Amino acid sequence: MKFESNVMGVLLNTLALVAIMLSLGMVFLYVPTEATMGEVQKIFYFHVPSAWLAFFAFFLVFVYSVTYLVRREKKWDNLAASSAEIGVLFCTLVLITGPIWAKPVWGIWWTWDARLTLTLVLWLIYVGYMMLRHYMADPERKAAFAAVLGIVGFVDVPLVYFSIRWWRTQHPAPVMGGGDDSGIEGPMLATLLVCVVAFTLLFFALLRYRARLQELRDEVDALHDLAERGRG
Amino acid sequence: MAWLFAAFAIVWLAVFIYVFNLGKKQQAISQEIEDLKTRLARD
Repeated sequence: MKFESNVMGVLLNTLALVAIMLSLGMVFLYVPTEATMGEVQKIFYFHVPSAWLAFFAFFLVFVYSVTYLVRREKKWDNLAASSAEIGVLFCTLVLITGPIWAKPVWGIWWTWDARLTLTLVLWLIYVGYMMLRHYMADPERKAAFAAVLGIVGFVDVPLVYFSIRWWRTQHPAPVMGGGDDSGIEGPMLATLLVCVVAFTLLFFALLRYRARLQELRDEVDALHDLAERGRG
Repeated sequence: MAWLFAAFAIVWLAVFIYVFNLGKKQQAISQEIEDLKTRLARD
């Protein structure tokens, strides 16, 4: 079982690495430069997959939190915590790469439109989730409170996603599935898909590593308790 | 090109720092396990 798990881990890490290399090659060597914005548009290939990963990670927090509340098994809480941490990392990257793209294209770093504001709120919700986990002492109460926040906090994800469809925003309209005039060229779409796959593989590699570390942390803490009781 | 490089560098630097921190946590846990083993063997 352990051998199988290690093989899976090596395979996942290798696939993630290969996909990342491929995505970098496609972004810098293959995909054509966009006519209006020029080279800076290539930020799109990191910005959109980062946003996708943040949404996906928070969706998993929602699923793991529901599962924890139903089954009350520690592993689901560990997975939710791990997924939230990685989600916050990629949401932070969305909030950094967005303004870096916005400045040369819009002439401003930030504007309080619906998409940007709701993304900032999303980030704050999950930073709050991590703070709650950090500052609460009782493990069971911490897990239950965090699970509730993980479920309620997910409500913001569809709001962020649909904000550019429901309201007029500075943020561009959807490039895919956004109406008759939406859509991107074949090579751009292929590059975006490869980047999304690469980021998703990276996410699962990180999630696996982070969740395993949390399991080890719990086991070591339990051993410490055992050793203390043995002394007493 | 500078904007693209900045965004690209920040994304991958952040991922590397995160993985590096996970590695440090793993090292700390491994050290704790060794300390526990030594303590249990002594007791």
